[in-house]
Amino acid sequence: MLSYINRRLLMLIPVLIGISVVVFLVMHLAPGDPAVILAGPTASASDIAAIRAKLGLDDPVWVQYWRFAKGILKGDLGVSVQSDEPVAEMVKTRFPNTLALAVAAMVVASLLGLSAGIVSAVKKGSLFDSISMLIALLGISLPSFWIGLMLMLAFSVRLRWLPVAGYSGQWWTLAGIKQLVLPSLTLGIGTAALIARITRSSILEIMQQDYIRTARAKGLGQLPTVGKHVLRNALVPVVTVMGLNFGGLLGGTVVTESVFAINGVGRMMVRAITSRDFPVVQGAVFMVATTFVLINLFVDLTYALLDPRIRYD
Amino acid sequence: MKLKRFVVLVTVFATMFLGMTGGVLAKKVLTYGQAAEVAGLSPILTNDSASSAANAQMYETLFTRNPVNNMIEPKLALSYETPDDLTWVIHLRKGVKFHDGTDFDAHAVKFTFERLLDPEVAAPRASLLASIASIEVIDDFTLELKTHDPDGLFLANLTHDNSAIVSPAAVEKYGNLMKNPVGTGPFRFKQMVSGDSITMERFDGYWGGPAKLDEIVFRVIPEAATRVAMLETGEVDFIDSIPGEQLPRLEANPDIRVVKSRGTPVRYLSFNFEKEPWDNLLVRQAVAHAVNIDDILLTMDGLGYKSIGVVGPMVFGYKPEIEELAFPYDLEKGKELLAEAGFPNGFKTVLWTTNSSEDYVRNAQIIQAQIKKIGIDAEIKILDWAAYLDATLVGDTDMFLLGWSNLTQDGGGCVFPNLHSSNAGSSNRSYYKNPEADKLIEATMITTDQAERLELLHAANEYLTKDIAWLSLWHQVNIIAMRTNVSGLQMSPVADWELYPVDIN
Repeated sequence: MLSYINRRLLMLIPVLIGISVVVFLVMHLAPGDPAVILAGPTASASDIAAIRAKLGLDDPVWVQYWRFAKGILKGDLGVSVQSDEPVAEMVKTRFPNTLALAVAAMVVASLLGLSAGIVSAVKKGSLFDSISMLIALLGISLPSFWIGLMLMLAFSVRLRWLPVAGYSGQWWTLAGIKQLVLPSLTLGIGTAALIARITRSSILEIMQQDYIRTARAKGLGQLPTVGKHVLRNALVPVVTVMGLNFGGLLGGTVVTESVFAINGVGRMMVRAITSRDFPVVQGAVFMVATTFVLINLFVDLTYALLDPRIRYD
Repeated sequence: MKLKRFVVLVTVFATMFLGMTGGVLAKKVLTYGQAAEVAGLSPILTNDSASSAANAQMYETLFTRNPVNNMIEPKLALSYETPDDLTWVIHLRKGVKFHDGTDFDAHAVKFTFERLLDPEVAAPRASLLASIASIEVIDDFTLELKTHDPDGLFLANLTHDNSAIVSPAAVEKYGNLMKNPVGTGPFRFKQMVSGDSITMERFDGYWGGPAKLDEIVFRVIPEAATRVAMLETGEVDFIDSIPGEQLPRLEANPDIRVVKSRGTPVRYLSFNFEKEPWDNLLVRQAVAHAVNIDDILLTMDGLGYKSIGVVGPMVFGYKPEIEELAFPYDLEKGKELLAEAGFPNGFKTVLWTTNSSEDYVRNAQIIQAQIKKIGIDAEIKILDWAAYLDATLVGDTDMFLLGWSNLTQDGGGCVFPNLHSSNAGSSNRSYYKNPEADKLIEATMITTDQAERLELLHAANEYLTKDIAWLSLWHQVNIIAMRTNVSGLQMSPVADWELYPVDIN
């Protein structure tokens, strides 16, 4: 197990080198010049030249890459072209917000998705089944931008139950939880729908197995059968989906962060891309990629807990 | 005994409660919902409108524009003289303090200007003061500035947010002021959560007397619909950057006041003069007759108004006579002109635009349909802002849409960077090089007498409009919306505002 984890962590190195090269090249090959953006349309040629020289943008691309790579090795992600702030610090302020949002969305998605999926499977063909699967289909299809604004209109502007937008960063307080309700619903509803559908089909498949028939034949009731025998086996694909989607949630917070004015990494990244703030894009992508890889590792490890037959040696 | 304890408890709670409510009532906090994130809080190192909006509350310039009559007035300066065309003697206000307690004086101004001009600092708006040859401190409150050439725009440039005066002591202490702003303005910096909010508090030592508000908070709310919703619920007190489709909703709300005023920003259709056939005046005239500006304005939800000149109505140098040069909507005339230019069957071209705001794309689509009627078949090419700035800079374009915000509110600050041949390849993105126009533009730059400049700028405006150096489509209507309990908020034509005179009940 330990050697497996070590091996997986070692694999992180080539992955991260690859990511750094790709991100660096994509940003530098894309049209658009950070100095021109910073100087704005009003700038004279000499203003732009001075900024380019200060930022080192006149150096050959490989020199710039080496500077970036050397910085990473020293734990220095660089400094924002726009705000002159260290990228590591920018990420440090914003990542907890994105993480809180993604975790809250995952909690919402799991609660809604698992319960809807389980009930739908057990009561297959019932009205509840049809309605919840219809909602699930809508949840997957509707753009989160629209869902967010509709929730906001209903619960904040009309009913005044919840704040419209903003997040204080304090998820452990009542005010913080209130601020997270709508964004996490918005972000989590698509994943909830996915989890519901996977849970349902996975349970239905397991219910056909011989050992379930045996359990029933022994006289085991509905609840213990589903609870003990079905769920545990049906959850492996569900956990896979949840794990993969958590990475997706972390990287997919952009729209929700914009709509709900949450100061997160996604929004920072979009802004950095539009202003060609190279160090910020590189640093943030790096961090998200690392998290993504680590989450996948974590998910792979939880399989063993669910299914002891899975071994890693 | 029990009763006594009860009475004591009640008294304690009552005092606490009263104290709390008293505190809440006494503190006047105004929250502004800001569309874009502030880059930083140094006027020297930033050039974005979000940063300017915050900095305008904390820093001050030597001169300012009166938001009502647009005339230049002294602010940190008291008066000035121009002994000759190259010399500006500026007398400064006494008794002004920076927020860090140091004194504002001629040395601070010299320090600020030299820093803005320092190539090592690489200030984005260094060009504002590029005409300065030397800065000399005569005494603590008198400066003598010499320019290389006579500079008619000099005072206007000194009103620009980016030439605001910073505390030299603070720059020494912090290196730069991006996160530690120290100016002389009515509000001083309290706290900044990068990307989220900035809090400023009243500066009691302000030379003009303390502001009415105790605290102002700038919150970043990128999504327009969210900003509007937050204004409706009172989570913010005022907002700007309001899309037209949200206006009816706001105007119908009795708790909200919407203020509109004519602004300086202009949107125009430009041409790449280095590419055929755009160097041909007949072709540009044909386009001007084919583009129906009234139709474009119909899609603007009242956020634009019509004026034909390159220099718009809210910019110094404008005279109403310019409107007589309008090109009436006339398709037959357009076709005739095209035929005369040698394109009886029209031609194919590319119309470049950006998706940085929705109206850029919408304007392009309407123009595409309109010029098709005289036989010009334009394919629309949409780029993101960064790529667009690059493409227009290097001259890849054919026809293209751009805007200019006219922050100095002086026509010279518009025609020189955009249409003088010396700026082709940087801010002159149409590569318009016309010796006749150059002469007219230069004349406006080297004259310091403002009455004379008005005539010269009008002459340049006339020439450029007739020559269709660009085709002005619309000028911006500035909009802010606030809760009705906010008073004293006044917007300038460049969509700037100061929170100093503002109160909230």
